[in-house]
Amino acid sequence: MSTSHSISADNLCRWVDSLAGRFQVLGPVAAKRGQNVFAPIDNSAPLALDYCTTMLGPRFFIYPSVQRLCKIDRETNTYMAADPGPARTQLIFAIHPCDMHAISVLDRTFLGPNKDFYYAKRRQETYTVVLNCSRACDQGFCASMGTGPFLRLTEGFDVVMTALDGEYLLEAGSPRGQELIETAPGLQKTGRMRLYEKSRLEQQAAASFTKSLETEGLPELLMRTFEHPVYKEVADARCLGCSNCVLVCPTCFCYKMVDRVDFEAKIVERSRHWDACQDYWFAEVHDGNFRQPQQARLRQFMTHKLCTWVEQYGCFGCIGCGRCMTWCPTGIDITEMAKEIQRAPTRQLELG
Amino acid sequence: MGNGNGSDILEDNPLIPQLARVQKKITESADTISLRLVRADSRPLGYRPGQFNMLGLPGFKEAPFSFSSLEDYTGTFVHTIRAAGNVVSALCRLRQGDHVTFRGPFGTGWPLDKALGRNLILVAGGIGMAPLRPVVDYVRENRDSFRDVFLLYGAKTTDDLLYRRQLAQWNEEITVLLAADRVRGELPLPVQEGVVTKLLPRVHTALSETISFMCGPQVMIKFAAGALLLDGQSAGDIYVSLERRMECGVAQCGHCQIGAKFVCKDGPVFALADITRFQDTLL
Amino acid sequence: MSDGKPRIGVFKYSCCAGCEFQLIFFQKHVLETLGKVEIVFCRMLQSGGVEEGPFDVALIEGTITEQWQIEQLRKIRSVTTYVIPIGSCAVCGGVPAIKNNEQEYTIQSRVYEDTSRLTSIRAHSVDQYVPVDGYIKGCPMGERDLAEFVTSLLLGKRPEFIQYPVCVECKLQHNICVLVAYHWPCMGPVTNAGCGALCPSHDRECYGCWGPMKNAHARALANRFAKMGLSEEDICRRFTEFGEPTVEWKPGQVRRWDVVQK
Repeated sequence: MSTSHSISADNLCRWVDSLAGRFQVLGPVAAKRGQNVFAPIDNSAPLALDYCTTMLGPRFFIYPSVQRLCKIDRETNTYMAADPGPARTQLIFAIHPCDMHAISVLDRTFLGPNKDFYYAKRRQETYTVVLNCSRACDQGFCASMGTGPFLRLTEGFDVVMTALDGEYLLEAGSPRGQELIETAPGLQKTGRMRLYEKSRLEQQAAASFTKSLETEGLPELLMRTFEHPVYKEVADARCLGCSNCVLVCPTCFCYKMVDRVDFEAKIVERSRHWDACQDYWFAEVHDGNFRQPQQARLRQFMTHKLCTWVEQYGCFGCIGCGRCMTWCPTGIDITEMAKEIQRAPTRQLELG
Repeated sequence: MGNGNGSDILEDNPLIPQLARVQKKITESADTISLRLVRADSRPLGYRPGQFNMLGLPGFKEAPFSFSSLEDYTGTFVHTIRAAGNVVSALCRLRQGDHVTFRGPFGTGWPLDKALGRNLILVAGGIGMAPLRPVVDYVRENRDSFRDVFLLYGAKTTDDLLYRRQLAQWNEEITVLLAADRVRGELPLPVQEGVVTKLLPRVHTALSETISFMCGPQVMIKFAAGALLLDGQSAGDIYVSLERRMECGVAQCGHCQIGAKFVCKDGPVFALADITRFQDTLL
Repeated sequence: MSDGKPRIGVFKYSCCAGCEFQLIFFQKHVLETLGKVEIVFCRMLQSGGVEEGPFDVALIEGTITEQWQIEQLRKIRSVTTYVIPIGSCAVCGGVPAIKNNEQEYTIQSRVYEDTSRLTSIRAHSVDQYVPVDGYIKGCPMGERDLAEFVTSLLLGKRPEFIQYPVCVECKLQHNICVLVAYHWPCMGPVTNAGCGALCPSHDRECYGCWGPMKNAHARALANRFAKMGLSEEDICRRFTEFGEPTVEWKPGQVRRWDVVQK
């Protein structure tokens, strides 16, 4: 990483104001009743930099919940492009490290051997400015997953900011991020002392987590315990099958294709919508359904995030943001389930 | 295709379908047809046996179909289709000269190189014969490269057996054993009454020197694979073609996942040993 | 479909006729489309018509609450290729089925002084009496599913109606979950989508007007409502306002439980 700079809080606001002229800036703002959401902003005034978490991570700016793929004329069999990418270059401001890690996890799906054109275009046209977390959030366990509270990535983002005593430390993660920083007003070069303070703050923040998950050996354990009764117990007692967990998950990539026909049955619009493995029809084929009981779908969610993802992409599919448990209407907690399996890996289902 | 407005997002995009024309429609049985398709620009696809295409009609979405022909580098390819479900029924209604869309070829295909110099047992049930036909064709073209080759093929009734005209011809080079739950009508080859697994005792060959490929209903795969394992074949030598609701073909949409495997990218053909460690593999 | 235009019959039983109105209202948007079908019988749209059929498609609106309705329904079924209940009343009992909560006579005598000439029976959905070929859910029936139905008719394919819960649509709209964030008793997790998460998008909880999603886990949601402090009566009301007779929501009608699980 190149030299770091610091900037005062006032100058940071001025910087955001100037960025808003160049980019479509998307940042955390206050929503109704104490909630925060990522939304487009024209200046720094609505920014809520002390936000804790948002229901949806900023993934939907890069991987929209509904994305048009193409339009097809049924009569002439010609194709027209749809979703040409964002109208203006986007800049997502103050992404928390877990969400930035989540985007890098998504990159492995969409920018892997089968590059997704739509994702690649949006990813390219989106600048990412990360804001390190100086305190733990209630449901987060990113420190256990190695995705927080400070950013651990070395590439794939543009700028990372750290709040230090009313100032912000700015470090670039890419050449274009470096350029971005150089446009900031009132920049000051920082010495080694500041970086030392940063690492001390990181240790403090990491120590403040109340939630944790022991990941050592977890994928292997989960692979051995597909039949663990915890899946059935939780599914029968509490799982609504509502798909909230996977829709708020910032690393979930599944989608379904949807064809919509106009009323003259002439133009077909093909789009993709976020899909959910918790949905009953997700694994349905003509002959039957591969995950008919809810427990099989719950197991698919948990073992995918914490076990098979590692084999697929070489990293966990869970970045420890805690959204799935926060936004589960009945509070199903995958860390609790994992702990139960770790506590009694060979427990059998009790009959009667 | 991509002749809409020349946007860069349409070129070489695996999610954008290409156009093919129905060159010939062949009725295989009461509910099954074969479509011989030719690519609009006649470029060969370069597909391998066991790979699949996403065939579709705009408005009807798409469905995965394995190739049921051997690549001949003329830009043509055959899919055998049984009427079931929305897009499939619509495909069955197509006539010669109509257009369909396709994306592909996707997947890895049958590991034919592993079978070279060894015995080969092909087990097919119903429409599951379609992905194995190119294997038969390949074996017949390269007969000297294989040792004993058996095709065990079962269907509900004799009339539901596909490729009936070719079965006797195949029998000249490989051993074709047929079974049907209900035997009726005449076929050039004898048909045993019962399920396809009943044919296994008639296969006399060293299983340690054998590769098995199977494709068919879930229950057939369960019993046929179980019988072969009991007879001493290793799970690494049994390959099955699996069914899932593939939607993208490029390991993105997530529908076809079995544990850590994507059926569309890592399959649809898998060694039994690779997938039985996961859950929800078979119905 | 027979040659030419698909023949459509629209029948109304016990309901507010809102779905039929929705169909007619919908026609204003797509006059050409409905010009491609032949409406053989629809009381609200045209007088006369051929009530006896045959029909390619029969759209059935309303709950079945009288014996004559069952008999007519069976006749319609015998002359129709596709029978499709439209709207919550026909699909899952809807509002008229709230009466199933009490004895038939109690309900009757609450409304009418003289009950001697009433012939009403327990309220049930259409599929309790005849096999059906699909559902257009909603109260009134949803435009998205109706559009899917109409375009499928034109294309000659089986319509793919929405079958996932409201939560999915709600998240696609980026709404903040009102159940989790504000502790409002939202029926979204057990209710079939199609409305575009209308109520949560307008800062209200879902009250389940589209009826149950298949495989809904009503009991788990009722437990959650109980923990939030809702009375048994309130919870029961939520699960009986629409879809009283459905197997999916029965476990949420807590008044019938022996004990509320904690």
